[in-house]
Amino acid sequence: MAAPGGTLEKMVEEVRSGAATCEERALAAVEKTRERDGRLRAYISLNERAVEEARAVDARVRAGEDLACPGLTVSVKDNICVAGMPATCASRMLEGYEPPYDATAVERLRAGGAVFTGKTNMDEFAMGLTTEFSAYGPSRNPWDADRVPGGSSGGSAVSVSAGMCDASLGSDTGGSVRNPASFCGLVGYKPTYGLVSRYGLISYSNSIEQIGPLARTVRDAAFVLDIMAGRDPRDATTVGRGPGSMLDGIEGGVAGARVGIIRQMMAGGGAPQEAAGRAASALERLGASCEEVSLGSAEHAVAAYYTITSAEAGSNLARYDGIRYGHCGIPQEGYEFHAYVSKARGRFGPEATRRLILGGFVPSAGHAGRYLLKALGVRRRLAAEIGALLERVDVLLSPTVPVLPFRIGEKIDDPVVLFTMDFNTVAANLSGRPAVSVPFGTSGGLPVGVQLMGREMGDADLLRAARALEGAAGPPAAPPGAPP
Amino acid sequence: MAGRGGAPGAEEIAGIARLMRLDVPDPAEHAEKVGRMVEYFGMLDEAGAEGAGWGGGTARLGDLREDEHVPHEWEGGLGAHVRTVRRGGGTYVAAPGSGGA
Repeated sequence: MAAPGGTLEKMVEEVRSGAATCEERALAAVEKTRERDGRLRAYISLNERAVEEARAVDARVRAGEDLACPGLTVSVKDNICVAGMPATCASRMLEGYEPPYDATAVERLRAGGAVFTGKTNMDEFAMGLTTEFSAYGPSRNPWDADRVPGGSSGGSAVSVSAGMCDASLGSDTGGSVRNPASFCGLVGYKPTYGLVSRYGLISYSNSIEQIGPLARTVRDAAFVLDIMAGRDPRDATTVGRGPGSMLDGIEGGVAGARVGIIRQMMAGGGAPQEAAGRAASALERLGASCEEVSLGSAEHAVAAYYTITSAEAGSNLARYDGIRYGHCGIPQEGYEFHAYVSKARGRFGPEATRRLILGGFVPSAGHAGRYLLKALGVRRRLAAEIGALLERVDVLLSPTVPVLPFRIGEKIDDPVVLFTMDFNTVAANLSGRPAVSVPFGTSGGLPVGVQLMGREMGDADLLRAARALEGAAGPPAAPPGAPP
Repeated sequence: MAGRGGAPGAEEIAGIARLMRLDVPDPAEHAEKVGRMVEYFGMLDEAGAEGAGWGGGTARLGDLREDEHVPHEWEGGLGAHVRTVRRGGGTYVAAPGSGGA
């Protein structure tokens, strides 16, 4: 198969050769953002120094520095630290906070010559899958502005889908990169747990979450991942990456590969399930063999996921006391210490408050046996089942999200309906496996995503399968008004 | 009073909020949604995973990295940064006993 070359690789080559400059690219991103973000609300804050920083990268290119990604315009989810830019997690609790350091993922991209366009909207502390739980209001889907863009990295997906930047960094705790990628017609990649450093990612559920890229193509996502991945002495959970690039062999195809279609995730018979069926047929035409497989623990995975993440959130968010962490703005005088902390935590939004209440309930002495310990047992069994399946097959296939993008406000009042939107995505998080959402056509003018899950540290193999699937899907469609 | 299916009612939510130092003026406001979430978690009873145990990975001590200090290149040195944090930059309230404003 001929290597077509990803758009970001070509762009970087143009900058290196002098055919384009980083400044031009940054200005184009700023102009597109001015044109579209008033309506779509991808960003919480913009990098006012983006063009100035792009000029500095141009100077490094002219000086002969060999940079990995000069002029790459990247937006960053607002729970990932970028030095000197706000990091609010879309919460009033962190209003005005500016971290004095870069997350490792950001630091590596910055060293490569990337220019950061701004911080993107999300559900508060990544607790949600629509961006409707942002303290700054919801982002809107570029394909239909009355619909949600998915979440929690919804602003990241909107910024790339609407052409405001080349790629974005999101975080994926239960599908928060793949879900908005599916809803906005993008590729969203959740790496193997530990492949990308979480240093500088403001924690929600640290045993599960990973930083991952959103981009227009699989090659673009692999290109960004390749720069970020690898061991980091600041995050003891990171693992060393293998030799070579994520792009090596990415055009190798799927001939001879074995694909497992997860039966429990194909229920419903809607457009996403039909797309997943067509995707399996397309992979068979490319030489893969497909078979239906059963993942029994999938039925309980969502309940286990929300139980575990609530317990971890209860611990992680306990640091926000308005004194050492978090904005308060309330005068200290007249408050007893604990009353002051309680008052400060009134700045959490309603969904974060509910998750914190759950985080106090499910691991408590009287209830841990019924909820948290059983959830941990489901997690262990699910990971073992997936491990056994991935000895029989090379990748697991399903729709990314069971439904198409829905209207803003349509499901916000029913937490259990929202939970079930994560049915297909949480398994990869609970088991630490890599997973990717690949756009596979449209239905009624809305994009549909198909998910592939791979073996632990089998990220390069998973990207090869994703690239083959993308090739079978045909040229990527773009939302109205987006650049070609 | 307990809610449906073992879910916490408004009174238990108020108790949890007190323990977690959360300002929840009207616990009943959260009772319905929290109750539905906990009812959903009740399906874990049917999972039969009690014996599966903790799913976290294990590592031998020898496989862990050496603890190491990774210094930041603070402008003006670490002391200047600590002074800035203690002052709160006009945005944050100083911790008790920190000597900040």
